[in-house]
Formats: sequence, C-alpha cells, structure tokens
Amino acid sequence: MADLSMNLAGIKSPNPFWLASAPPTNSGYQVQRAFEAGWGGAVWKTLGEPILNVSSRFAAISFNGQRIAGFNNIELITDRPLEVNLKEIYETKKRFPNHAIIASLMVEPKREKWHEIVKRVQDVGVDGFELNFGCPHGMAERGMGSASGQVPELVEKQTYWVKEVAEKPVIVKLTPNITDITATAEAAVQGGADAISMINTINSLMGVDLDTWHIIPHVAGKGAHGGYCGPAVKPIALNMVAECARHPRINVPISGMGGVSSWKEAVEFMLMGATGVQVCTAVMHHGFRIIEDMVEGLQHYLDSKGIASVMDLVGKAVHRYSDWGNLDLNYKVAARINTDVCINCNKCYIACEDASHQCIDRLADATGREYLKVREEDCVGCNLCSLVCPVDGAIDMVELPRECPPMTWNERQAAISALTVSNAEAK
Amino acid sequence: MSYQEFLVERERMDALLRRGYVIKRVHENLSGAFIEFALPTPAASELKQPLQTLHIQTADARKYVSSLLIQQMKRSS
Repeated sequence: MADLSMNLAGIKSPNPFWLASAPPTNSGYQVQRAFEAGWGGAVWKTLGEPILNVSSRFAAISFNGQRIAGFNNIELITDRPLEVNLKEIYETKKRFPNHAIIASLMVEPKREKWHEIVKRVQDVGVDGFELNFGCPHGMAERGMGSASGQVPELVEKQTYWVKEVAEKPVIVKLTPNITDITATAEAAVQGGADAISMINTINSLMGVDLDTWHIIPHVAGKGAHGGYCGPAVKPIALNMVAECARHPRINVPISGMGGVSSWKEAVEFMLMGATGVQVCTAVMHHGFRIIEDMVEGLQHYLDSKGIASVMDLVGKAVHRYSDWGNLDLNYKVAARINTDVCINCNKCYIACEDASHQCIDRLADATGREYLKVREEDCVGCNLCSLVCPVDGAIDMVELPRECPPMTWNERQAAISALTVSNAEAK
Repeated sequence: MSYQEFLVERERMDALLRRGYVIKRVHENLSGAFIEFALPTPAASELKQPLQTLHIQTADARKYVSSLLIQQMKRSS
C-alpha cells in the first residue's frame, strides 16, 4: 500500500487532502467531523476582525445537467470572535494531533496587526499559517485580501512581517485576479514564505435574472462581484500552479486548489507541482464523505502505478510544461473516424465544416450506407471533431509518421536569424 | 489552403534544391514567405539565374522550408 502521508514545508498530514479555508472549516464542529471522515488537514476559515455578512451569499452555474459546475460566493471571513475560533482550534488539535490545522489569517496591511494575530493564533497550537491575500470581494474594498495580493510589494512586506514572529510554517495564498501570478508568488518567496497556495477565487458576476433583471445573487435588489470557484476553474488553477512550479525563483512547496473534486484532479495538481491539494466546492456540493472515494482512488492509482509514496508524484510532469515556442511544429496528428462506432450524427462534420478546416467528407458506400471520412492530408489535427463527438471511441486522434525532424518555433526563428547574420557578414 | 497547394510549393522548392540551389535568404511578411535560393557556385547553365525567389504561402510549406534551412545549416556547420 502506497504511503499517502504528506509533508508540506514541515506541515505533516496523514493524506494530501486538506479542506480549504471556506464555509466547511468555519467551526470546530465541522472540522472535527471532517477529520473523522478522513480529511488529512483543514485550513480554518479566515480569522481576522469579525465581519458582518449579507444574506443571500452563494450562486452556482449548472451546465447541461451538472449542478454546480461553477460556484460563486460573496461571503466574507469569519464572523465569530477570535477567542471562539481559537478555543475550537485548540480543542480540535487536541483531539486530532496528527491532522494538520492551518490558520488562515487576514488583517489590515499593518505590521502590528499581523504581529498581534500571529502571536495569538500560534499559541493554540496550529501547524501553520495561510495568509489570505486572495479573497476578491468585500475585504478587498477595505484594502485586504486580493487588494493586498495584487501588489507584489505588499505581499512581500506582509509576509516578512508575519515571518518576524511566526514559529510555524507560513503559506501565502495568492489571488488569480492578476495578470502574472508568478510575480506575486516570487514576492511571497522574497518575503520569506515557506510555501504558497493557489488559487483563491476569481472575480465573477454569475448572471442576471431574465425576469427581474436582478444580479445573481442579489441582496435586496443589488449585487456585487463575488469569488468564482468549482470544477469550471480547474484549468485556470492548474496553469497557475504549473507556472509557479516551473519558475526558477519560486522554490517553495505549493498547495494547489481550484476545482479539485476527486482524486484525479489531486493527482493532476501534484504532477504539476503541488504538494497536496485543498478542496472546498466539492465538499459544499457533496459533503465531507467524498474524502472516502478520494483516498481510496488515490491509493489504488498509486498502487497500480507501483508508486510507493504520494510525495513521489510531486512535480513529475512539470518538465513537460513549456512555452509555445518550444513545441514541435513538425509533430502531426490527424482525426480518424471509426465507422463501426460512429452513429453518423454529423456533429464532427458540422464542426469541421463551420469552425475548422473542412476536411471531413460525407460519403456513401456501394449499398448507399452513409459514412464520414477524414481527408488526413488536409486535417490539421485540431481535435475539434473528437471533442464534439458524443460517442466514445468513434474518433481517434492518431499520430502521423514524421516527414521532417522535430523543429520548434524558437529553433526556426534562430535559424532564420542566423541566416540573416551570416548574409550580413558575407557582404 | 489545401494539401495540394502545399505539394506544389514543396515541389518548387525541392526542384531548386535538386539543381544545387541553397537557401540564401528568408523574408517574411503579411503575404507569407519569400525564399531566396542561390547557387553556391553557379554552373554555366545557370549563370542567367543565379538567384531564384519563391513566394511560399501555405503554412505547411513555410514549416517545410524552415526544416530545410535547419538541415542546411547543420550540414554547413
């Protein structure tokens, strides 16, 4: 049996699945039930000066029958006094000493404010801190959350202040609401962060009610932007984790989150550089007990691959992630339609004809039976036909034999530049 | 642009290579690529046309000529 235990910057947990700082980690009652269910760690709902929330806080997008494909919230950090949270953290840690409890923190960007909260929180025995520089709504209007997290200097400075007094590892949680997340990640590292986590939620407006014209969700007729998360954001989060993982100056562990709903996404995040994952929306949708399938699925995956420890996954696919200019221009795939599986729905034909390169022919055999065939020589290998195809196995994307050696855009441009220089020197 | 157009452009380039031409200059603009081929040591029969320029429009042919150029540079280095 593979070892599922995890160590992120010195924070140990029995498995790599942590609950993210969010409504499921609002209280000791919830976190203890989560640990009983099998979660390896929990990032406590952000502590700070207790806030006031509005009523009507969540909204979701359902897509083609899938409930909560994307989720949005305008809830703020904890609305409970610090003492109440600390008492429950202490009790929870005492009951579950081998589980990781990380305190998410958010205060104004002032040195004394950070010192005060860090000192008070670490006294109750948390395993680490997560600085919330990502929450995009409400708190940001007050200069905290993503308002801090979008300014590299503020990220570095606040991380440094926390590190001045923190006796436990410090994770800096980053906002995706920025052009280049590696800029703030690097600032966190410069400030002394022991680890970074990403992504927090994405600025979003979920919709407008077509009858009432109310913003969704609305609060007495008005709405405000919220934070978007759930399965829909996974590709965005995975890219940001990978970009940080392959950055030469971001050399701290990464806690990955954003659309993790099963063990499969967890493996993807870990392969792309995350040391463990955090989960929120899937728990809000299905409850704490999804952890059973996540642990079992991960265990089976590792065992089937002969991998001894889940930590052996971390970063194993990062070297495969590069810039577009390093991709091989001479690699070719083409679509191949399996006529014995195809149901002749023509989805691929329409997609290719209207949105790609018009390389699927509608033909009929000697008996008059219609079938679809790809002209491989004209196919650019865009994948669109296989993506729109509703039948598994009806369209394969197959590698074509090489006609030319591998050549990247960067190699091509270098060759053309060298030729230009050579010509100039010859004159 | 079709595969047939690529084949035509590739053949025009290959024909020059078979006659001993090498890629001398690549100029790219909004109209595609203009590839200047030259004879390294012009043979008597070619003296009237020591330089040949081809206008290459298809993406596949522009990839192809890039591969040719890289191979040519590897051979000469």
